[in-house]
Amino acid sequence: MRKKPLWIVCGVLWFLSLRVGGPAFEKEEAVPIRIKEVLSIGSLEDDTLFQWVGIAADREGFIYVTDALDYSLKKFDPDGRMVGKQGQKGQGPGEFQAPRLLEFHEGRLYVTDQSRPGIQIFDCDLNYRGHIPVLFPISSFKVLDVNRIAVVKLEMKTGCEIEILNNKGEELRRVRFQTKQSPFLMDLVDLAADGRGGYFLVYIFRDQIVHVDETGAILWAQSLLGVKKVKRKKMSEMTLPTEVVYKDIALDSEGRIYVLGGHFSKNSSRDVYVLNGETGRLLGTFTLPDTSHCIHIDERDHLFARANDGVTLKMFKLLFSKERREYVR
Amino acid sequence: MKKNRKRQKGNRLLVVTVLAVLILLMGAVGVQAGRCELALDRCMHDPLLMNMIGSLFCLNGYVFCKTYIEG
Repeated sequence: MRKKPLWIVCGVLWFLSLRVGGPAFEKEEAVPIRIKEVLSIGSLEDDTLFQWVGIAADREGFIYVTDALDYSLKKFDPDGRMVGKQGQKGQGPGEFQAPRLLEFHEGRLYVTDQSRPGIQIFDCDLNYRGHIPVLFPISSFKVLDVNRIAVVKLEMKTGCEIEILNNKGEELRRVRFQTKQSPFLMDLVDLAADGRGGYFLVYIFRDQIVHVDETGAILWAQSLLGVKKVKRKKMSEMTLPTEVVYKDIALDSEGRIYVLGGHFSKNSSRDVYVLNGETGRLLGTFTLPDTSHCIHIDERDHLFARANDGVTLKMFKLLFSKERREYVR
Repeated sequence: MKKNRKRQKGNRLLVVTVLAVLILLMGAVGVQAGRCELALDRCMHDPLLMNMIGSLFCLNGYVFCKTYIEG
């Protein structure tokens, strides 16, 4: 009889450890990958950024961001000074309701909007240049060349597909990367192009990262966190996932993949997993100083992430220990 | 008898305390997880968005909220 309270306490402690501690990271190896902050744009004391969302950088080191709270597209020089701002709230050309994803390609900026269909195009001086009509909302996209954009759309019936569109929004082809359809939203992915016609895909609501070729055939698949099931909840007459496994994916110039972890990571929205792009093997992890919704890596292998809930943009240099560099490669 | 009663009372008190802590903890998690759900519910009931495409834009907003605000 006396032992009962002890058992209860043990049970409660076990239950709490499950909720607070999260899953164990047995598969990870301590590979020395570090980051060093080299630039910070915006702070709580100034009005430079309010809630930046999308990020892109060009070859000269200019940085472009979408800012949701002041409906704008902003340009910063390599030293972090704002050199251009465009946009206002509206439905017209060059205007935004809620600017979101941003891609830079060959002197053009491609911007999606949370509340408006399609992709708006701007030049690097932030002048409006055109619009690509896409009926359904876009959850992820990559510009492959001037006339081909890989798009992951949010649709009710179809899923598990990447659509390749031309610059008029017409479908060129579809890449189906999964034959079995899962419950709604569970197949939603963020994508990165591998530069050889294939794609790296990271599932938002599932513990899966895959590399597919141009036909959608899986080259490798990886699960890092041991997440068997994501909580789902009935809301607005649908059952939707409520926990994010992975938030974003980025590639560096040497073909390494960087994946930002979500709710199940030890440091939620801060842990970044680095994988070998050829094999999918986990090379190491590092932790961002602040929570972020995305990561971006420019052509000079600078990593960009969020701080202060979107008021600050941080640029980091990726540092690999010399003695372990071959292993990391 | 008196000792037994005291022990039982102590046990009950412990169970009640533990349950209260658990409920509070779960409640806190629930409130935190509710922001995106609440926004989705509002969006889905917006008369301008009460069609199939509009609903999808609401759901896209829900996914954005989950990745941007939470976690």
